[in-house]
Amino acid sequence: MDEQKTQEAAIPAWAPPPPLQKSNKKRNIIIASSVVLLLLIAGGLYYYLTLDKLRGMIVIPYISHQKPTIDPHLPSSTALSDKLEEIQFDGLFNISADASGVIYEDGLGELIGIDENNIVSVRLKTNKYWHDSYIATMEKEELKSIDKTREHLFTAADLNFTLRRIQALGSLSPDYILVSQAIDPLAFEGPDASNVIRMRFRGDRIWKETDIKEVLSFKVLPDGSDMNALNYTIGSNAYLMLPPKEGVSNYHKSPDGTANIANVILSPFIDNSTFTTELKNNRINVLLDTPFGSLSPILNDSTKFFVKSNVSTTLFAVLFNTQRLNREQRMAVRSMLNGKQVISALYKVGTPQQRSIIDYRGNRNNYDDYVNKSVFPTSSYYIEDSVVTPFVTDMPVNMGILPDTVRIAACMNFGFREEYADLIDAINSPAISRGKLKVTAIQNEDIRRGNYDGLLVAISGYRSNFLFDLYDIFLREPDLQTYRINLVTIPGGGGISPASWKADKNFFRLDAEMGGPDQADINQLLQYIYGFMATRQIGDKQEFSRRIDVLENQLSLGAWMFSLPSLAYFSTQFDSTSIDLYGVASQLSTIKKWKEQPK
Amino acid sequence: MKRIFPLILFSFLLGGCAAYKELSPKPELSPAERGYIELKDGKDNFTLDKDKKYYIKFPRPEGDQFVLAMKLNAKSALQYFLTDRFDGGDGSFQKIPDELATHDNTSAYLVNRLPPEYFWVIESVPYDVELEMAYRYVPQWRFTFENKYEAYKKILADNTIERDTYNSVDDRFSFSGFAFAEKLRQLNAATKNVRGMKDELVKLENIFPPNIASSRDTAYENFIALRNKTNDELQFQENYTTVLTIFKKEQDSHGSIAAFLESAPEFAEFVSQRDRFPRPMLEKARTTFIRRLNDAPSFYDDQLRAKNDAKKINFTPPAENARKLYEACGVQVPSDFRTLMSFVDRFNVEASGMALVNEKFQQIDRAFAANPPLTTEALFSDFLSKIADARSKLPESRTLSFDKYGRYVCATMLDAEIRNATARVNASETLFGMSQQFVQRLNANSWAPAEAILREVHYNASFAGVPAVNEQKNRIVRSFEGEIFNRVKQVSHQRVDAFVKANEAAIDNVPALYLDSAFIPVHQISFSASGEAEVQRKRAEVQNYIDKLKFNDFPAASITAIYRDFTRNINDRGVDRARAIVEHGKYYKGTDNQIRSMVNECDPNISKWIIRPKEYRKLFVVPVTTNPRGTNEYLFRVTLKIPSEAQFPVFEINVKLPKEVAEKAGTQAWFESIKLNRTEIKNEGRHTITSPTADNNYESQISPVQMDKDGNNVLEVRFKYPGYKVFEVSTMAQVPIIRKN
Repeated sequence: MDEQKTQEAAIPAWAPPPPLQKSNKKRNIIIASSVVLLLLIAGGLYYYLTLDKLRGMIVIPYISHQKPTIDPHLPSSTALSDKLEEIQFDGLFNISADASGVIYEDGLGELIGIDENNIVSVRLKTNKYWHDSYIATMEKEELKSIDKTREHLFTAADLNFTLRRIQALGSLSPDYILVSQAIDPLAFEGPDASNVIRMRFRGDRIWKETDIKEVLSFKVLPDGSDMNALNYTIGSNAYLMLPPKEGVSNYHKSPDGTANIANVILSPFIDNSTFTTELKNNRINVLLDTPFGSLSPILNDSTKFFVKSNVSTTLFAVLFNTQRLNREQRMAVRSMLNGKQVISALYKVGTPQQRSIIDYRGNRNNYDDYVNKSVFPTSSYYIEDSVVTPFVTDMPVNMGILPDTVRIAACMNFGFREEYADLIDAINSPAISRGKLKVTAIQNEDIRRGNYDGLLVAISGYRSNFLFDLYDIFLREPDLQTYRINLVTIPGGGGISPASWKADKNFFRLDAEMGGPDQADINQLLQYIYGFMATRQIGDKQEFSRRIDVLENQLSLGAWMFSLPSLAYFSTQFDSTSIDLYGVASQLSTIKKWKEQPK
Repeated sequence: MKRIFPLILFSFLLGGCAAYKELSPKPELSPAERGYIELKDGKDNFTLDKDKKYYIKFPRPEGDQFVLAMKLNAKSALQYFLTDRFDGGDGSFQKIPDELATHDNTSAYLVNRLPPEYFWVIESVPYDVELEMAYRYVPQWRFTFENKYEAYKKILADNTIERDTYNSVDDRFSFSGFAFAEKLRQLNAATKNVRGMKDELVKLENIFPPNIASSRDTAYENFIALRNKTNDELQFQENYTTVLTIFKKEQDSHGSIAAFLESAPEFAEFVSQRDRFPRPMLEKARTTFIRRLNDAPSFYDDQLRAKNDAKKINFTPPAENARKLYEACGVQVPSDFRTLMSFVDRFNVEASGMALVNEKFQQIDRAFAANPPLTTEALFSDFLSKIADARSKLPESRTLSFDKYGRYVCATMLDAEIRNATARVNASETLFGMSQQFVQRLNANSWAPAEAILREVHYNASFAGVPAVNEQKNRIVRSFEGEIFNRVKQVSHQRVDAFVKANEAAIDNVPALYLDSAFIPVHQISFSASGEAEVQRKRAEVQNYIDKLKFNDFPAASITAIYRDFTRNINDRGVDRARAIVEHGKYYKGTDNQIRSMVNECDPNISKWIIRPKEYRKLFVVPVTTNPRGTNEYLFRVTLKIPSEAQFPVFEINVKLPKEVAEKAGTQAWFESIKLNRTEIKNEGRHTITSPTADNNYESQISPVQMDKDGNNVLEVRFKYPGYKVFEVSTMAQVPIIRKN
């Protein structure tokens, strides 16, 4: 697999005209031109002060009703959550990056080596403090001080607790797959007097240092933590969580941490429609995902902003309600929802309003690269490395088998409002809907009830690596407000239970026990999905991915339309050379290395 | 000095007290032979004081074998002795025994002329004694005879047997009721006494002086008269004893001809002594014996009739006893007894001959019993020599020609024995002669002629009628059969062993080696007394050994040796060696996995197994084309047999290539094709084949290689190289891991 890297994209040659400055217009109307000079001075002062107020801060926006919660061992429906865990929690080794690519740095451990019996020795850094060793004192929502009130140091017990939790989570946790492919059972010996622990790695390969560190890069929680907490707050990494404000915490550099920038502020907004404006207005200085993942005309001043592309982490799909549409109907609708056609419409390709994109390889406006032909996104390893070769047909759509109107629903209240709004318009356009498809905005409650023929949904935070999460698509409870995976396994290693698929527990209204003409295929698909997610064998993952692709294609459970480009904007407050983003690594993995430009 | 003097004086006194005092008789003592002469001290007798010691010197006699006799009054009181050497009691001396020690007043000592003088020493005088003593020098014979003459006369008188009975024995005399035992006892007692006296007289006569016969010595004349009487009486008594003994034995044998014939030699001797015994007496004996001999022929005939073997006839008592008695009695041996004796003589001649023949047979039998190696010519030469001896000793059977005795069992048996022996001699001669020939052929490795002789021996019907020979034939056949088999096997083994040893490292034209005659037995066994199945078994045994060498040992040794050379330097005719190993491997049918592995290592068409992950496995890559001066195609195959818990296992295959193969990979693909289960893997899509470079130590990785979990997963790599040599390539498979990034 090719190394996926994100590189700083050049500032586009074309830029849309800047929007009118309403305040200046008002001032021009109210104040005579004689005071123009004064106003310019005042405006410059304002701009300077506004710019300076974010000094020493990394301000990242979030949707106010999608508060990030952090579980470092489970995927989250909120992309920001997965990114924040990187700044708060340490692994024995932490993924990071430098100018040349991905690297692993010592976290809570120091690798001593691996012997001929595959015994890996790691010295634990027992001088590392857990964040609850400190108390942050706030005054009028401002941090006044951080004081060490006790010494809660990292120990082997914390590592043991973490391994037990990962073991308990099983296939729900990507960490389980990563660790168990190397260490089985998840255990270690020690520590000895030198705080060295020993883990027996499997003997089926030559373990290189980077392999070992990647396996041991799972995040460590302190012993005694709640095994099933919704939000884990005590880490040991560069930034510690401050007392929450409106349910969301900001972060401050840990006193014993090495972060260059002291504060990470999470700034709430109603939706993502104003994110670019807020960045432009210097109310935020980091925008990890711009709407549509496209270059923003208002942020084209390269003296103020720079961009870094990343691999896609969000795909838009229409998931079919199998209780309302039969297989032939689903196939017909899937054919109508041609990804290329949709993305062209969405990005207004070929029009003056075309939304430009740039990918991490430097390719520009390569919209076709984002068209998905399988449940596995085109950006994923499985498509990228041709493990899965999606079946593509251009057979004409038999409109006769469809109902008069295929009702497609979308809920715009949980992110991606901008994208949803334009997507609804695009699909409803006659060119795509052909008078048969009708997309409407609905409430989350309607989704719970399955009140749709198809559900237009953004599946965010997916990983394009081996650990592409099919549970997130197929086993997620149909509730955008609550993230819940309905995985029911048969005790004793008996695999997945058909009870995992009950009609009211997934977007597709699939029921593995209800019967019907698709019963056998549905059950088979469920087994394949579990096989794919639970295996720690790469060959099994590959084979199951192929089978899933084929069977899902036959069942036509969704139209997987396209993935959203990922583009991050940064204020030039930061030194762009200090920010390295690579491939599927979290955008915040290197945050403690970020530096500000000299004032 | 004053102190020592008393001691010396005391010692002298003591010595003076113990000294023997010499008595010097007057007149001086004379050794002349006379009567007793008084020993005087002048006119007086010597007086011996109590507790004193004395000695008197006596001159030596005038001749040897004399007696010094002494008569003295106080023999019982005194303690004395005579010695030929006396030194006052000091030194050693020997006391001469007193011949009349028990006599009351006389002592006598044997003296001769050797010492110059004799000493009569008185050691103890219990009380004062006046010694009355006379001495006499007298020849020993005279002293003895004179002393015993009266006693001798009395002995003779007392033991003289009356002669009337003896002289009255004739035809008319009857021993019926005669007290043989008592008379013989009386005779024996008398004879004993007379003979004892005679013995003394003989001894006495031996010491007579040589000239005594011519003298007129009265004692001597008395001695002669007494001696003659004694001899006469003794002769009579012996004759009488003989007569009584003979007639007693005859009388005791009444009712037993065997007992009579047992004593026949004594009887014959008796009647032959015509000068010793009275004629009437001898006539009576002859008459008696002739009468008793009438029973002798039937007695021996009975024994012959009862004899049921062919051994030499030994009568008890011997028939010779009877014949001699006939002759001694002066009568002609009866004709039937003569015939019997002739038969016995002939029988014994033949039996003796047969004994010698049988001895030869027994020697042969014993030799067989000792289980000698039957494959030496010397053995059969010896057997044939013994058989020749036996043939020379074979008697002509004539006992059957005796009218009467020819029908007796012993004669029949002897005849049969001779005929059997003749047959055995003939058969043995044939058997041993053929055997000798067999051994000669065998030792000359003339397998087929030897086996032909063996077959002839086995099927020769003439041995069947002679059990002993037949048994020997069977043993010989068994032995020869085993020997020829062992020799054929051994020589075949030696030949093939030598061939194998000589050619185990050969690498050229290997298939031709397996067509060599060394892999054929030196002879195909075609005979076995046990039948065709045994023939086949033996053939198979020889062939199996050869086949073992051909299909196991030879290829195994060759493969091992060539492989050793091959691995020592693969650039030294490496391709030829590898191909030779493969050729040998085609013949190898053994089960040694190590050998199989060597072959497999050299055979490019055989896939090398990788059964453990992450371990580099070295393999040899041999060209599959033969172009010694040009470009060749190379091939290697690996089979992944790595256990995996995965349902669809996938591996990364790492191939460490030789620099010369990989160094141009940057400009031209180092491989022609890479196939997995005959499906080509191309460096596109999901498959990645990394380029071997100096930076990665010329290691190429092929990934992912999807395995069929339960099937064969053969990765085949072909490449070309402008050369004709063997390369070493190392391959390793390991499980790829799922990565977060």
